[in-house]
Amino acid sequence: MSISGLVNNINVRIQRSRESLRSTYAQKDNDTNKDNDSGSIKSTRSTSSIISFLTGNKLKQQKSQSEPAAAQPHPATATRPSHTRRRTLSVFKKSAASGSYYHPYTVYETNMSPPVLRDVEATRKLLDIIQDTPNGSRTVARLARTCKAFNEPAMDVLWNELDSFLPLIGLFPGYIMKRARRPALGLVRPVSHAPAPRHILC
Amino acid sequence: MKIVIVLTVPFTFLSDLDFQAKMPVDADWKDLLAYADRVRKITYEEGAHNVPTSIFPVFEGRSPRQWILPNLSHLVWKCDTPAGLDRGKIFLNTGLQSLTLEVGHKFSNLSDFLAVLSSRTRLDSFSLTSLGPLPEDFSRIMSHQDLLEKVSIVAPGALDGKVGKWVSELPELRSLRLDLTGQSMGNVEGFFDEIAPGSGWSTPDSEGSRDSGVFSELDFTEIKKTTAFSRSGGDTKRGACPQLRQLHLTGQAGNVVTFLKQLAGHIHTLELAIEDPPENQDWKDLCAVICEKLSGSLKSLRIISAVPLRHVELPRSPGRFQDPTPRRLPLNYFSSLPRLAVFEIDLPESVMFDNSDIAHIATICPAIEVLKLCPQARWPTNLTPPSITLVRCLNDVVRSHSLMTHV
Repeated sequence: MSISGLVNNINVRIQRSRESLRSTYAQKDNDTNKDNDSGSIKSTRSTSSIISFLTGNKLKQQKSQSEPAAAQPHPATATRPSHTRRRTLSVFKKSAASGSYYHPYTVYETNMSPPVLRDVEATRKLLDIIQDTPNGSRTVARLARTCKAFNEPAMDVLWNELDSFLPLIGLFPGYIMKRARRPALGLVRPVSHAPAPRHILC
Repeated sequence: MKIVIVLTVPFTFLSDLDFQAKMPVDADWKDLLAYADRVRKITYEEGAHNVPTSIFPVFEGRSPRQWILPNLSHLVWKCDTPAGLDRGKIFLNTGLQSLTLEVGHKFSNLSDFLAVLSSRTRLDSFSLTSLGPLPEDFSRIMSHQDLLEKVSIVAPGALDGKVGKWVSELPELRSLRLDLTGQSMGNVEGFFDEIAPGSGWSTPDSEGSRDSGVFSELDFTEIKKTTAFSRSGGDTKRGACPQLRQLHLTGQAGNVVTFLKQLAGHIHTLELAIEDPPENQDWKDLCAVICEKLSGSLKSLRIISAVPLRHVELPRSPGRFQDPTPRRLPLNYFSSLPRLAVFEIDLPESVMFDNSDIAHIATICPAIEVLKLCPQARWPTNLTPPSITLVRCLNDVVRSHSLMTHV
């Protein structure tokens, strides 16, 4: 599977989510115009159903109606700062209580990630596939830098398999290493527990 | 502030780095240990000379914890010197599941390394490629590794009877790779010499054997060397390693035939790297023994060249080398492979097939799904390719409800 195919697939799913949201809200507006008395109750249900729809899991939908959504932090969103989640939920609660259907666009964007990426194993396999493509490691590295939700799984994939010790050695602070005149000279004498001389290499 | 270290740039620039006099203290290990937890597989190649060897004593003696890579499950260690082999010991942690070891000549410490390996680990997969001979006590040392599912031994002495006994007694063994190149037929049969009936052998009387004994009668016309036959003890020992499912053999077709005759017929996947072109009689025997021993179980058969494909690896510019003369490889020696789904032949010289071969395969392999016959074959300008037509192939494969065919 190519990266462009994956990206297209994700885009299609996001587009479908947006279209479903639009249709849901359009229908809800019609219902509200017909019955203004029960508008607040319906709006509460609508909000919870939207949250459930975005999570993409019917079981979670039912659970989320009885439990606070924050009680089930998903791995993909677990790295998101808690104040962001709190703000998102508070916006939903405010709008539900007031009966208004307006939500800031950022609220939708933060919840609009494809549900498949909220599964740890699925995300891992997706990243593995991406890494196997040409320049795949570079793509995964970009994902790790782009999104906090992607950071941990992407880093796991990047560091899962190393074809050399060099990436590990490179994690030592700079003052540990120095550039040798000839590559891979090594120490002139074995390392002992005694204090090391100041300049081992010439 | 969290610092994210991402492998976005090649680390080759580190190849000319080495340790300074200042040794790392505990604080210097913080990042390395944090990211080392993520490493599951690592490869070390001493011949690449891209890693300063002075780092390994530091790993061993200065690390704040016992294992640098505590979650390492797959280690690939390629070394040219005994010292390089010793460095690998510090990564033999208890969670290691797979080891691929490549060593050169005269490694006197190989036995010691294997002893450390066996004392610390219980591997699923073990691969040893050595230019030097195996240690004399190899099978005794490795007897602790009783969970092995995948074994690959390419080394002088790999066909010793003790090694054969050890391999046959691995209860979880599913995949085996051996190199039979340059061995005599007696040496090949010597692999089965010390396997006692009942401990890895599946005789016609043994439980679960499909061999009725009718067709396993000794055929003296096929015995090429009387000495080899006398060592093997006739057909009383046929059916070794019934637990084996995947087999990879490298060597002359005659040696492969000798080896296959000794095995139980439960192999699903067979990959053969044979010399090309094979002698006609050896090829005929090979086809016969495959159909005789493995027809009831074989699902995938792949035949490739034992010699690296020199003309494939070289740049494909005309005139830089002489194209090998295409030779015919008859497939009508195969009699019946009813469960075969994947059949691939990729030989550099034996590339001539015709419509009758396709029709024959379509007939004897009703379950065939993938058929690849030398997909990288090249044709000299002075010769014409074989007269296989797509229409005729399609007729044959459609008639036998095959799915994909690459000719």
